[in-house]
Amino acid sequence: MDPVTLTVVILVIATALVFDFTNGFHDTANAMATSIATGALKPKTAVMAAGTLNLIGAFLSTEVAKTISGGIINEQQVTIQAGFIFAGLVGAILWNLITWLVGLPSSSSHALFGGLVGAVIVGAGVEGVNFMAVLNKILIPALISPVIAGFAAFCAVRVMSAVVKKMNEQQMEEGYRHGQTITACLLALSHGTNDAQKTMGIITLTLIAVGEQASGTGPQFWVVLICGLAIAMGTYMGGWRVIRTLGKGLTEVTPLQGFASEAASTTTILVSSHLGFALSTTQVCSGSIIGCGLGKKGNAVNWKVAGKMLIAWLVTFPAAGLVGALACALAKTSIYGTIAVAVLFVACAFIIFRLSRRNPVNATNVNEGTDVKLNPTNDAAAQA
Amino acid sequence: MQVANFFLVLAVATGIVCGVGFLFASGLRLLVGDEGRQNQVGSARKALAYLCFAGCVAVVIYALYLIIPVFH
Repeated sequence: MDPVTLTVVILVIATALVFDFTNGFHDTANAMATSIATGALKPKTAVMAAGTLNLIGAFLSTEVAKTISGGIINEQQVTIQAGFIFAGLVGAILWNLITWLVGLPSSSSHALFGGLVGAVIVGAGVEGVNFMAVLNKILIPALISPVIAGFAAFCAVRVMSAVVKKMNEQQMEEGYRHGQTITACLLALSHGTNDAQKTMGIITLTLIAVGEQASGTGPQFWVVLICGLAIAMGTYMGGWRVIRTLGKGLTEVTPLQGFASEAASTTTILVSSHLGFALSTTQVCSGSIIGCGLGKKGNAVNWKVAGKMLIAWLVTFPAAGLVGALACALAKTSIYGTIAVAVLFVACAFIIFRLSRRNPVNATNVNEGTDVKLNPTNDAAAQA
Repeated sequence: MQVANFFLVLAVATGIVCGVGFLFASGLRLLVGDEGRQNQVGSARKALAYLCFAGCVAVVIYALYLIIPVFH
């Protein structure tokens, strides 16, 4: 392999692992936010469980998709070069970090597809994109999946509330906290069998593209290991900002509602996968939390936060695409352009991280407050 | 995604979640008893409660079967 190709391959693998890491901490909230909010699991216990189950899930399922983009890019007409993948990953990661900073859950899969599409449009032209697939696999599911999960959670809360209404509330909540432990773990395991495989697929297809691996073969063990570890570590680090939004910011969640939400999310994801199409875990979980909030009489949903989330979902694909396109435009000039993209990417990531330190959210304060602010409040600043 | 698939997922997911929710809630209420009547839970009620939880466990096992690819 010549030095230029080697440099690009190394950058792709490193960036793919960073994407896997951000995918992990962004999606911790999906499985664990309600369990943390209701006290079913302590914060650190929850992220430890989620990280372990993600790692186990990564090893349980190593069959990766034969295409990177799931048909969104016309991979038979366009050769997806390593440079496109790198630029697409940069777009996806930066969008993941931005939404994490403001505490908004967003789909890492859609960010990845968006970044890739943006890079392909710049690198190979618009004809490389299957826009009908964008409509059918991105836009429509983004609108429909939260409705499905929300409706299922709403109905479940109503049914369960009717059955347990004469019970002692404390004993009932204790029972549901135990139930939440099971449903949260199922959701985390389901996530682990799905999400690390995207990165495994990217690295494997890159190795095949540069001739380092035979076409049609699956991921090598070291690829499975590093992808599993990356997503597990990201999960363990815990996207506390997103956890706060989902656990406290959308609606006040009781253990019964948390159980309904997690059960609805797991069921929706499994049923849709079994029928042959995948829905975003993030969007499903967010929808089910809203549904369980509406299901309890007298409960309120913070529609302002829900509205921000919906906008974030709709903007994810084009926003990641824009960054991917810009990255590709610079990267395709030369190897120095690619290195410049890498440097700029690290700089942006550092800036976002520094901004998050102004008002950190972590395991000790995740349940204190319902929103994520970039700047500390006057009281918090005075105490600091 | 076709409209029919959307309604199918909606119907199946709602049915399963409500079914599991009903089983779990029923099991909990049978096991613990109502407010002020917790010490009136007989062995028959407890047996029925465990049956409900067994139903939930069966669903969890099936979910694991669906999640873990090596099983299918």
